[in-house]
Amino acid sequence: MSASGSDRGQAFTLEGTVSALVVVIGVMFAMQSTVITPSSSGAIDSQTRTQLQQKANDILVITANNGSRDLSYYVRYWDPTERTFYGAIRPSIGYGVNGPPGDFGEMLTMSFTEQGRHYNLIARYRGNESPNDSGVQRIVYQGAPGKNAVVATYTITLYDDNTLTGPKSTTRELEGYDTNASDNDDSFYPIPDVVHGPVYNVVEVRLIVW
Amino acid sequence: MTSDRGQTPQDFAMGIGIFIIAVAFAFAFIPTAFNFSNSDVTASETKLAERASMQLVSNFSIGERQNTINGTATADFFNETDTEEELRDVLNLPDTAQLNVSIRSLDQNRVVTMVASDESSVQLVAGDTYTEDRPSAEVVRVIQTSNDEPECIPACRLIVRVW
Repeated sequence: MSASGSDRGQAFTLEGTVSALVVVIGVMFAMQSTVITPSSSGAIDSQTRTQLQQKANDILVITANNGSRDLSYYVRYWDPTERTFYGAIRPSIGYGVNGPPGDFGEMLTMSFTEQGRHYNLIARYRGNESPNDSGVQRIVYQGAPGKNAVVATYTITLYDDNTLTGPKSTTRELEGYDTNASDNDDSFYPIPDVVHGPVYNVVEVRLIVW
Repeated sequence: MTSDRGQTPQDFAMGIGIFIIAVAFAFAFIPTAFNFSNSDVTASETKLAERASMQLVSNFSIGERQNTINGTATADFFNETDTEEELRDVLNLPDTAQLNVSIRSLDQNRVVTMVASDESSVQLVAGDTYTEDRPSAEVVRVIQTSNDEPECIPACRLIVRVW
C-alpha cells in the first residue's frame, strides 16, 4: 500500500473541474426541460386566457340582452344580393379586420383589436339535410385561431316571423328566402328553416379570441 | 507518504474550490430558472377575485338585463365604502386579502366617474392602492350601466384585483 500510495498523482484540480462540469451540465439540462412549466406554455398564460374568455362571454351576453340590437339582429343583418352581411368585405371573411357594425363591433374592437388580439365570430346553425348536419357562416374571420385561443358561445333562436334587419330589408319573413346558393336569384339567406312550427332555426354564435 | 508525493493540499483546495463554486452557482440559479410568472398569485387569490367580481356584478345588476348594473346604486356603493375593511366585509373576503375594485372605460385605463344619489360625482375606485407592477389576481368583467353613462358606451370594465 505504501508504494501505490506514494505513486499516486495529484488529480484533485482535474477531479474538481470534472465534477463542476457535471453540476453545470446538470443545471443546463434542467433548464432545457423547463419548457413544460405552466408559465412558459406560450405568450398567453392561464390568467390571461381566463380574462379573455370572461370578456368574450360578457360581450356576447351584453349584446344578446341589448334590446332591439341584439345578437339575433346581427345574425339577420344580411344582404341577400351581396350574399354576405351588410357592410362586410366579402363572404369568406365577413367583416374581417373591421369588425361588425354598431356597439357590438365597437366593444369587440376596443376589447380585442386595440389590445393586439384577433377574433373570429362565427354563426353555426342547424342544416336541413340531416339532424346532425350543421352549417357555418362567418360573420368575422380574421384567420386561423392560434393554439391559445379561447371560445365563448351564445345560442339564439330565430323565429319564422323574423325579418332580415339590414338597411334594405323588407317585411319579407325569413321563410321567404332561398337557401340554395347555387342558383342565381337575389334572395339568398344561408340559414334554412328546419323546424315545422314557429321556430325557424337555432344559431350558435361563437366568438373565438386569440 | 514519501517526499515524491506532490503538493496535495494546494491541489485539493483548488479542486474543491472549483467544485464548490459550481455547486453554489447551481443552487443560486435553479430557483430563477423555474420562474413562474404568477408565482406570487395563488389559486385562492384568483378564486377570491372571481367571487368578489361575481358578487359585485350580481349585486348591482338590474333584473331584466344581464351584465347591466344600476349606475346610481354602484356610485352609492363606491361613495359609502370608504375603507378597505368595509369593502372586505361587504365582499366577505379574509382580512389578509388586499384588494382593489375599479370601473374603467373600455378603451382607456381611465376611471369612470358617476353621479350618486346625493348628486355628488364619485370616482369608481375603492380598496387598497394598487400599483401597476404588483402581481395580482385580476378579474375583468365587461358591463354596461343602466343610466347610459357616456363613458360606459358601449361598455365599461369592472376590474377586481386581489393580492
